[in-house]
Amino acid sequence: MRRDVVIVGGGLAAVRTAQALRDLRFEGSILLVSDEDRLPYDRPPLSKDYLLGRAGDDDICLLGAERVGELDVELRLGRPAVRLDREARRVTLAGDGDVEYEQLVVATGARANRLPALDGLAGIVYLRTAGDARALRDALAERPRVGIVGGGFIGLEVASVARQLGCEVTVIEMAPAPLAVVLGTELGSFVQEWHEGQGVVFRCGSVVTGARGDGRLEELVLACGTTVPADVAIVGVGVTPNVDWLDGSGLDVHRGVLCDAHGRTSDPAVFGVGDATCRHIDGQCRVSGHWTAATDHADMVASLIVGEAVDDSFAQEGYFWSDQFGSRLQFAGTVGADPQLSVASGAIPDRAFVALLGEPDRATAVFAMNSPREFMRTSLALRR
Amino acid sequence: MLKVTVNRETCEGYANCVRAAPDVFDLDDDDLVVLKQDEPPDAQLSRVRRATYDCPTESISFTDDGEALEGT
Repeated sequence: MRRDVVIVGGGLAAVRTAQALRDLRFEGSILLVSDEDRLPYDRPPLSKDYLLGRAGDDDICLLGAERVGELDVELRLGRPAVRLDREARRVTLAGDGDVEYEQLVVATGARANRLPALDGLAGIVYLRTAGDARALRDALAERPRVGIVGGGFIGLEVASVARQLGCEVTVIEMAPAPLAVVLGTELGSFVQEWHEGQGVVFRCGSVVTGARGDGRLEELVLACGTTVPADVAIVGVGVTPNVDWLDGSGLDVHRGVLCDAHGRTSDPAVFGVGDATCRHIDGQCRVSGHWTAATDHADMVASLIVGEAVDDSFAQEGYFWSDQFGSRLQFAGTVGADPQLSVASGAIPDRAFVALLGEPDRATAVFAMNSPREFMRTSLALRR
Repeated sequence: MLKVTVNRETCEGYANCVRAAPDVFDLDDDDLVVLKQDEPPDAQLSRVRRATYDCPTESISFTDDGEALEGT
């Protein structure tokens, strides 16, 4: 049976696409195919309250069984897509069985980048799924020495949780400061000092080249030759889009399946949403692996499918948040290397401020700590 | 007619609703959600719906002519 819409993926972008279609009164059949064998869940808590044990499975559920029924969406769980035949408009699933579509939405997300140099030892953790988070939560309960490879947002969120659980934590970051790639060195250094005040140790300007241990991780080896003792290492060094199943389909894949600003691929029957996509906008390739971006994409693609006008007012904003040591960090926009920094309200040493980032004459991004109201007002003003 | 309700007990002040529908939602001095209007015009429907989806704590619900959509 050919479905009107097949959504391949089981994360936020997939669920929001189904919801947006029904919100727009789409009455056709919708099939959602996920490689995970559980109902769709929300990922931001996996490195925060879920890891800390403050949130459980019910709290992170995105789409309960009851909502599945109300939405009239057919689910096929635990079935990775392995091939796309665009001519037959057919997706082949692992095991047996194909699904045929009138319109296809690619929503297969991304996976954590692996460091092959660390393969082979127990205690190396990549955090992407609820199962990964549960296993890490159990490991952290033993109060291991924790090494964090990569001082990005995931790494710092896990560092915060591990410290709160009483673990020794060392963050190893290639750049001169954590988050420097996103926020610049000046704010990155502030973040480092703040975390150091909470007992996190940093090894910045360092690269992990290997790991040692007798079956289990005992120490991480850095390029400079020194080591960091660790029983558990969490590797947060970026993601790779899950688009291998599109090999041979003829769809253009760059840093994800290539889409226009609204989510159209080169095939009028195929759309892309969320972390599996990249967008070519004004000659630039943009990847936006953020929570609200998944819903932005879903709303736009649902509008295309039902033939309504697309509202793209949020689409290039790059908004996300992070919660660390009880503080709220929020960011919106894009910045180049070493952005100019100016404080718009509050004060950085008070850990309550809104900062503008960008060119000397033009702010292109807003970063805030513990100032959600001012952050939103400032970022809305920037959008205009 | 749209009718919006918010739960200030569960709100954690992300302000994602302000981003989605600035004419309907705001934060107060305690950084908790307040409604600028609880019966916004129908033109706000897609924005209110978006705010409901984007709330990480599912603290917003609304009815549209009595038809409910709570959290996600």
